[in-house]
Amino acid sequence: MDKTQGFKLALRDVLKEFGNIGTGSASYALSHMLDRKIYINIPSVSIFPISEIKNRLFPDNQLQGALYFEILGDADGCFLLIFDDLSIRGLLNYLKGNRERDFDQLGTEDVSCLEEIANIIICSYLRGLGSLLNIKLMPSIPSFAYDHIQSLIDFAIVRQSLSFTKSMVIDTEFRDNKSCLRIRALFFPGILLNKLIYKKYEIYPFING
Amino acid sequence: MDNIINIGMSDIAFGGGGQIFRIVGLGSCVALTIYDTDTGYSAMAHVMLPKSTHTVPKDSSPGKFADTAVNYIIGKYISEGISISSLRAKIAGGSCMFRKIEGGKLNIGEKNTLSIKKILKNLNIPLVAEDTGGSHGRTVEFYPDSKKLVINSHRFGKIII
Repeated sequence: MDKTQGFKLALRDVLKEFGNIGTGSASYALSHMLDRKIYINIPSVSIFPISEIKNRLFPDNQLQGALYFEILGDADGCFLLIFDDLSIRGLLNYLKGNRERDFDQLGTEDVSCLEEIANIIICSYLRGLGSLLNIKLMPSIPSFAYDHIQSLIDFAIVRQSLSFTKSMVIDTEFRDNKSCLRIRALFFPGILLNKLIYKKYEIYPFING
Repeated sequence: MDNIINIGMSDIAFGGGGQIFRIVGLGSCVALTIYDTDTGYSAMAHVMLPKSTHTVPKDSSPGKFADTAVNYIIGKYISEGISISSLRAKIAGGSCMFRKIEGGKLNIGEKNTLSIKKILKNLNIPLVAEDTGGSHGRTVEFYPDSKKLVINSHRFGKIII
Protein backbone atom coordinates (compact mmCIF):
# COMPACT_ATOMS: atom_id res chain seq x y z
CA MET A 1 0.00 0.00 0.00
CA ASP A 2 1.52 3.35 -0.94
CA LYS A 3 1.58 6.34 1.38
CA THR A 4 -1.31 8.04 -0.35
CA GLN A 5 -3.58 5.03 0.02
CA GLY A 6 -2.44 4.51 3.58
CA PHE A 7 -3.18 8.14 4.33
CA LYS A 8 -6.66 7.90 2.86
CA LEU A 9 -7.51 4.84 4.94
CA ALA A 10 -6.17 6.47 8.10
CA LEU A 11 -8.15 9.60 7.29
CA ARG A 12 -11.35 7.64 6.81
CA ASP A 13 -10.91 5.94 10.16
CA VAL A 14 -10.24 9.25 11.88
CA LEU A 15 -13.32 10.80 10.33
CA LYS A 16 -15.43 7.85 11.31
CA GLU A 17 -14.26 8.04 14.90
CA PHE A 18 -14.78 11.81 15.16
CA GLY A 19 -18.24 11.68 13.74
CA ASN A 20 -19.57 8.49 15.23
CA ILE A 21 -18.30 8.79 18.77
CA GLY A 22 -19.56 12.36 19.04
CA THR A 23 -23.06 11.82 17.76
CA GLY A 24 -23.60 8.56 19.68
CA SER A 25 -23.23 10.31 23.03
CA ALA A 26 -25.27 13.24 21.72
CA SER A 27 -28.31 11.04 21.13
CA TYR A 28 -28.02 9.69 24.68
CA ALA A 29 -27.93 13.21 26.13
CA LEU A 30 -30.81 14.38 23.93
CA SER A 31 -32.89 11.39 24.98
CA HIS A 32 -32.46 12.50 28.58
CA MET A 33 -33.34 16.11 27.88
CA LEU A 34 -36.34 15.38 25.70
CA ASP A 35 -37.44 12.41 27.80
CA ARG A 36 -37.88 10.19 24.78
CA LYS A 37 -35.89 7.67 22.83
CA ILE A 38 -33.79 9.39 20.21
CA TYR A 39 -32.34 7.41 17.31
CA ILE A 40 -29.51 8.55 15.09
CA ASN A 41 -28.47 7.57 11.63
CA ILE A 42 -24.87 6.81 10.82
CA PRO A 43 -23.50 10.31 10.32
CA SER A 44 -22.08 11.36 7.04
CA VAL A 45 -18.62 12.80 7.56
CA SER A 46 -16.56 14.45 4.86
CA ILE A 47 -13.85 17.00 4.30
CA PHE A 48 -14.35 19.96 2.03
CA PRO A 49 -11.98 22.67 0.88
CA ILE A 50 -13.05 25.79 2.74
CA SER A 51 -13.10 27.73 -0.54
CA GLU A 52 -15.83 25.40 -1.85
CA ILE A 53 -18.10 25.07 1.18
CA LYS A 54 -20.38 28.01 0.45
CA ASN A 55 -21.09 27.26 -3.20
CA ARG A 56 -21.03 23.46 -3.12
CA LEU A 57 -23.02 22.85 0.05
CA PHE A 58 -25.26 25.92 0.13
CA PRO A 59 -25.54 27.16 -3.46
CA ASP A 60 -28.99 28.68 -2.96
CA ASN A 61 -27.84 30.76 0.01
CA GLN A 62 -31.15 30.19 1.78
CA LEU A 63 -32.21 31.70 5.07
CA GLN A 64 -31.25 29.30 7.86
CA GLY A 65 -30.67 29.27 11.59
CA ALA A 66 -27.22 28.49 12.94
CA LEU A 67 -25.39 28.34 16.24
CA TYR A 68 -21.73 29.24 16.47
CA PHE A 69 -19.38 27.80 19.09
CA GLU A 70 -15.66 28.27 19.66
CA ILE A 71 -13.57 25.42 21.04
CA LEU A 72 -11.97 26.10 24.41
CA GLY A 73 -9.59 24.09 26.56
CA ASP A 74 -6.56 22.17 25.27
CA ALA A 75 -7.11 23.04 21.60
CA ASP A 76 -8.76 25.57 19.28
CA GLY A 77 -11.19 25.87 16.41
CA CYS A 78 -14.92 26.41 15.99
CA PHE A 79 -18.20 24.73 15.07
CA LEU A 80 -21.18 26.03 13.17
CA LEU A 81 -24.35 24.01 13.73
CA ILE A 82 -26.91 24.54 11.02
CA PHE A 83 -30.52 23.52 11.48
CA ASP A 84 -32.96 23.16 8.63
CA ASP A 85 -36.30 24.95 8.95
CA LEU A 86 -38.45 21.90 9.51
CA SER A 87 -36.21 20.55 12.23
CA ILE A 88 -36.28 23.72 14.27
CA ARG A 89 -40.00 24.18 13.95
CA GLY A 90 -40.58 20.55 14.92
CA LEU A 91 -38.24 20.81 17.88
CA LEU A 92 -39.80 23.99 19.23
CA ASN A 93 -43.28 22.64 18.66
CA TYR A 94 -42.44 19.66 20.81
CA LEU A 95 -40.56 21.53 23.50
CA LYS A 96 -42.89 24.47 23.90
CA GLY A 97 -46.07 23.58 22.09
CA ASN A 98 -45.61 26.53 19.71
CA ARG A 99 -47.39 26.72 16.43
CA GLU A 100 -45.15 26.92 13.40
CA ARG A 101 -43.59 30.36 13.13
CA ASP A 102 -40.97 32.11 11.06
CA PHE A 103 -37.53 32.26 12.60
CA ASP A 104 -37.53 36.01 12.71
CA GLN A 105 -40.27 35.79 15.29
CA LEU A 106 -38.25 33.64 17.66
CA GLY A 107 -38.09 35.09 21.14
CA THR A 108 -35.20 34.84 23.56
CA GLU A 109 -36.76 31.82 25.22
CA ASP A 110 -37.00 30.00 21.88
CA VAL A 111 -33.36 30.77 21.14
CA SER A 112 -32.37 29.55 24.60
CA CYS A 113 -34.03 26.21 23.87
CA LEU A 114 -32.12 25.86 20.63
CA GLU A 115 -28.87 26.84 22.32
CA GLU A 116 -29.38 24.18 24.96
CA ILE A 117 -29.99 21.48 22.34
CA ALA A 118 -26.98 22.62 20.33
CA ASN A 119 -24.85 22.70 23.46
CA ILE A 120 -25.65 19.04 24.17
CA ILE A 121 -24.66 18.06 20.65
CA ILE A 122 -21.44 20.12 20.62
CA CYS A 123 -20.39 18.90 24.08
CA SER A 124 -20.77 15.35 22.85
CA TYR A 125 -18.73 16.06 19.71
CA LEU A 126 -15.98 17.65 21.81
CA ARG A 127 -15.98 14.83 24.37
CA GLY A 128 -15.51 12.37 21.54
CA LEU A 129 -12.78 14.42 19.91
CA GLY A 130 -11.08 14.97 23.24
CA SER A 131 -11.12 11.27 24.07
CA LEU A 132 -9.43 10.44 20.77
CA LEU A 133 -6.64 12.93 21.38
CA ASN A 134 -6.47 12.56 25.21
CA ILE A 135 -7.21 16.23 25.75
CA LYS A 136 -9.98 18.28 27.37
CA LEU A 137 -12.20 20.34 25.15
CA MET A 138 -15.26 22.44 25.93
CA PRO A 139 -17.50 24.79 23.98
CA SER A 140 -17.83 28.54 24.35
CA ILE A 141 -21.17 30.16 25.04
CA PRO A 142 -23.22 29.62 21.89
CA SER A 143 -24.42 32.42 19.66
CA PHE A 144 -27.51 32.10 17.43
CA ALA A 145 -28.22 33.90 14.18
CA TYR A 146 -30.77 33.59 11.40
CA ASP A 147 -29.74 34.94 8.02
CA HIS A 148 -28.60 33.90 4.56
CA ILE A 149 -26.45 30.88 5.31
CA GLN A 150 -23.42 31.93 3.24
CA SER A 151 -23.08 35.06 5.39
CA LEU A 152 -23.15 32.97 8.56
CA ILE A 153 -20.50 30.64 7.18
CA ASP A 154 -18.46 33.67 6.10
CA PHE A 155 -18.16 34.62 9.78
CA ALA A 156 -16.85 31.19 10.82
CA ILE A 157 -14.36 31.03 7.95
CA VAL A 158 -12.94 34.45 8.75
CA ARG A 159 -12.55 33.53 12.44
CA GLN A 160 -10.32 30.60 11.43
CA SER A 161 -8.97 32.00 8.22
CA LEU A 162 -5.30 31.96 9.17
CA SER A 163 -5.43 28.27 9.96
CA PHE A 164 -6.07 25.71 7.28
CA THR A 165 -7.64 25.14 3.91
CA LYS A 166 -10.14 22.41 4.72
CA SER A 167 -12.93 21.78 7.16
CA MET A 168 -15.05 18.82 8.24
CA VAL A 169 -18.76 18.51 7.52
CA ILE A 170 -20.82 16.21 9.75
CA ASP A 171 -24.43 15.52 8.68
CA THR A 172 -26.61 13.79 11.26
CA GLU A 173 -30.26 12.92 11.67
CA PHE A 174 -31.72 12.53 15.13
CA ARG A 175 -35.22 11.08 15.11
CA ASP A 176 -37.93 9.80 17.40
CA ASN A 177 -41.25 8.19 16.44
CA LYS A 178 -42.78 11.42 15.17
CA SER A 179 -40.16 13.85 13.96
CA CYS A 180 -36.67 14.20 12.59
CA LEU A 181 -33.94 16.71 13.49
CA ARG A 182 -31.41 17.29 10.73
CA ILE A 183 -28.22 19.03 11.69
CA ARG A 184 -25.24 19.90 9.59
CA ALA A 185 -22.13 20.71 11.62
CA LEU A 186 -19.23 22.56 10.03
CA PHE A 187 -16.04 22.00 11.99
CA PHE A 188 -13.12 24.40 11.49
CA PRO A 189 -9.99 23.22 13.33
CA GLY A 190 -7.45 25.59 14.82
CA ILE A 191 -3.68 25.45 14.56
CA LEU A 192 -3.16 23.68 17.88
CA LEU A 193 -5.85 21.10 17.22
CA ASN A 194 -4.35 20.25 13.87
CA LYS A 195 -0.93 19.72 15.49
CA LEU A 196 -2.47 17.39 18.06
CA ILE A 197 -4.16 15.36 15.32
CA TYR A 198 -0.83 15.05 13.53
CA LYS A 199 0.91 14.03 16.73
CA LYS A 200 -1.40 11.04 17.14
CA TYR A 201 -2.27 10.11 13.58
CA GLU A 202 0.68 11.51 11.63
CA ILE A 203 -1.65 13.14 9.13
CA TYR A 204 -2.78 16.70 8.51
CA PRO A 205 -6.35 16.16 7.27
CA PHE A 206 -7.12 19.86 7.05
CA ILE A 207 -4.28 20.99 4.83
CA ASN A 208 -4.06 20.67 1.07
CA GLY A 209 -1.93 17.81 -0.23
CA MET B 1 -25.52 35.72 -17.38
CA ASP B 2 -22.11 35.97 -19.00
CA ASN B 3 -21.43 39.52 -17.82
CA ILE B 4 -21.70 38.71 -14.09
CA ILE B 5 -18.37 38.21 -12.36
CA ASN B 6 -18.77 36.33 -9.07
CA ILE B 7 -15.99 37.16 -6.63
CA GLY B 8 -15.08 34.54 -4.03
CA MET B 9 -13.33 35.05 -0.72
CA SER B 10 -9.90 36.67 -1.13
CA ASP B 11 -10.44 37.27 -4.84
CA ILE B 12 -10.11 40.50 -6.82
CA ALA B 13 -11.74 41.20 -10.17
CA PHE B 14 -11.17 43.95 -12.72
CA GLY B 15 -13.48 45.05 -15.48
CA GLY B 16 -15.53 47.78 -17.04
CA GLY B 17 -18.76 48.71 -18.74
CA GLY B 18 -21.32 46.03 -19.34
CA GLN B 19 -20.04 43.88 -16.52
CA ILE B 20 -21.46 43.32 -13.03
CA PHE B 21 -19.31 42.40 -10.05
CA ARG B 22 -21.10 40.25 -7.49
CA ILE B 23 -20.27 39.01 -4.00
CA VAL B 24 -22.77 36.65 -2.36
CA GLY B 25 -22.96 36.04 1.39
CA LEU B 26 -20.93 38.82 2.98
CA GLY B 27 -20.63 38.47 6.75
CA SER B 28 -17.46 39.79 8.39
CA CYS B 29 -15.86 40.28 4.99
CA VAL B 30 -15.93 43.61 3.16
CA ALA B 31 -16.65 44.21 -0.51
CA LEU B 32 -14.14 46.86 -1.56
CA THR B 33 -14.80 48.66 -4.84
CA ILE B 34 -12.32 51.12 -6.34
CA TYR B 35 -13.21 52.63 -9.69
CA ASP B 36 -11.81 55.20 -12.09
CA THR B 37 -14.18 58.12 -12.55
CA ASP B 38 -12.72 58.93 -15.98
CA THR B 39 -12.75 55.54 -17.73
CA GLY B 40 -15.17 53.53 -15.57
CA TYR B 41 -12.54 50.82 -15.22
CA SER B 42 -13.30 49.17 -11.89
CA ALA B 43 -12.06 46.67 -9.36
CA MET B 44 -13.77 44.77 -6.57
CA ALA B 45 -12.08 42.80 -3.82
CA HIS B 46 -13.60 40.35 -1.32
CA VAL B 47 -11.53 41.28 1.74
CA MET B 48 -11.44 38.85 4.68
CA LEU B 49 -8.99 40.34 7.17
CA PRO B 50 -7.73 43.80 8.12
CA LYS B 51 -3.98 43.41 7.82
CA SER B 52 -1.37 41.04 6.45
CA THR B 53 1.58 39.95 8.59
CA HIS B 54 5.01 38.52 7.97
CA THR B 55 3.59 35.05 8.58
CA VAL B 56 1.26 35.21 5.59
CA PRO B 57 1.83 32.19 3.32
CA LYS B 58 3.41 33.05 -0.03
CA ASP B 59 0.45 31.67 -1.96
CA SER B 60 -2.06 33.88 -0.15
CA SER B 61 -4.28 35.78 -2.52
CA PRO B 62 -3.72 39.58 -2.37
CA GLY B 63 -7.44 40.09 -1.92
CA LYS B 64 -7.45 38.35 1.45
CA PHE B 65 -6.14 41.32 3.42
CA ALA B 66 -7.19 44.98 3.27
CA ASP B 67 -3.65 46.29 2.80
CA THR B 68 -2.58 43.80 0.14
CA ALA B 69 -5.92 44.17 -1.68
CA VAL B 70 -5.64 47.96 -1.97
CA ASN B 71 -1.95 47.77 -2.91
CA TYR B 72 -2.68 45.23 -5.63
CA ILE B 73 -5.55 47.24 -7.08
CA ILE B 74 -3.63 50.52 -7.05
CA GLY B 75 -0.60 48.82 -8.58
CA LYS B 76 -2.75 47.50 -11.41
CA TYR B 77 -4.29 50.91 -12.04
CA ILE B 78 -0.89 52.61 -12.11
CA SER B 79 0.43 50.02 -14.55
CA GLU B 80 -2.57 50.80 -16.79
CA GLY B 81 -1.69 54.50 -16.69
CA ILE B 82 -4.64 55.45 -14.47
CA SER B 83 -4.08 58.29 -12.04
CA ILE B 84 -4.86 57.77 -8.37
CA SER B 85 -6.48 61.21 -8.27
CA SER B 86 -9.33 59.95 -10.43
CA LEU B 87 -10.11 56.96 -8.22
CA ARG B 88 -13.06 56.65 -5.86
CA ALA B 89 -14.14 53.89 -3.48
CA LYS B 90 -17.32 52.32 -2.12
CA ILE B 91 -17.51 49.56 0.51
CA ALA B 92 -20.12 47.24 2.01
CA GLY B 93 -20.13 44.46 4.59
CA GLY B 94 -18.16 44.15 7.79
CA SER B 95 -20.98 42.73 9.92
CA CYS B 96 -20.84 40.92 13.20
CA MET B 97 -23.11 37.94 12.51
CA PHE B 98 -22.82 36.37 15.97
CA ARG B 99 -22.77 39.18 18.51
CA LYS B 100 -22.36 37.00 21.62
CA ILE B 101 -18.97 35.85 20.34
CA GLU B 102 -17.45 39.26 19.64
CA GLY B 103 -19.65 41.55 21.69
CA GLY B 104 -18.07 44.31 23.72
CA LYS B 105 -14.94 44.64 21.65
CA LEU B 106 -14.07 45.57 18.10
CA ASN B 107 -15.14 42.66 15.93
CA ILE B 108 -13.40 41.45 12.77
CA GLY B 109 -16.01 43.08 10.54
CA GLU B 110 -15.40 46.47 12.16
CA LYS B 111 -11.65 45.96 12.01
CA ASN B 112 -11.89 45.20 8.29
CA THR B 113 -13.91 48.36 7.68
CA LEU B 114 -11.64 50.61 9.74
CA SER B 115 -8.51 49.20 8.13
CA ILE B 116 -9.82 49.83 4.62
CA LYS B 117 -10.89 53.35 5.50
CA LYS B 118 -7.49 54.15 6.97
CA ILE B 119 -5.62 52.83 3.95
CA LEU B 120 -7.84 54.74 1.51
CA LYS B 121 -7.41 57.92 3.52
CA ASN B 122 -3.63 57.54 3.50
CA LEU B 123 -3.73 57.23 -0.30
CA ASN B 124 -6.14 60.18 -0.67
CA ILE B 125 -8.76 57.98 -2.35
CA PRO B 126 -12.19 59.36 -1.37
CA LEU B 127 -14.63 56.86 0.11
CA VAL B 128 -17.82 58.16 -1.46
CA ALA B 129 -20.31 55.68 0.02
CA GLU B 130 -20.54 52.78 2.45
CA ASP B 131 -23.05 50.33 3.90
CA THR B 132 -21.19 48.59 6.71
CA GLY B 133 -21.63 47.19 10.18
CA GLY B 134 -24.71 45.76 11.78
CA SER B 135 -25.35 42.05 12.28
CA HIS B 136 -26.92 41.10 8.98
CA GLY B 137 -25.63 39.36 5.89
CA ARG B 138 -25.35 41.11 2.54
CA THR B 139 -25.12 40.28 -1.13
CA VAL B 140 -23.65 43.07 -3.24
CA GLU B 141 -23.42 43.95 -6.91
CA PHE B 142 -21.37 46.75 -8.46
CA TYR B 143 -22.22 48.20 -11.85
CA PRO B 144 -19.20 49.92 -13.46
CA ASP B 145 -21.47 51.66 -16.00
CA SER B 146 -23.42 53.58 -13.37
CA LYS B 147 -20.91 53.13 -10.53
CA LYS B 148 -23.81 52.06 -8.33
CA LEU B 149 -23.31 49.58 -5.53
CA VAL B 150 -26.49 47.56 -4.89
CA ILE B 151 -26.77 45.81 -1.54
CA ASN B 152 -29.41 43.19 -0.73
CA SER B 153 -30.07 41.87 2.75
CA HIS B 154 -32.77 39.83 4.47
CA ARG B 155 -33.25 42.52 7.08
CA PHE B 156 -33.27 45.71 5.01
CA GLY B 157 -34.10 44.63 1.46
CA LYS B 158 -32.38 46.51 -1.38
CA ILE B 159 -30.15 49.53 -0.78
CA ILE B 160 -28.39 51.44 -3.58
CA ILE B 161 -25.39 53.62 -2.83
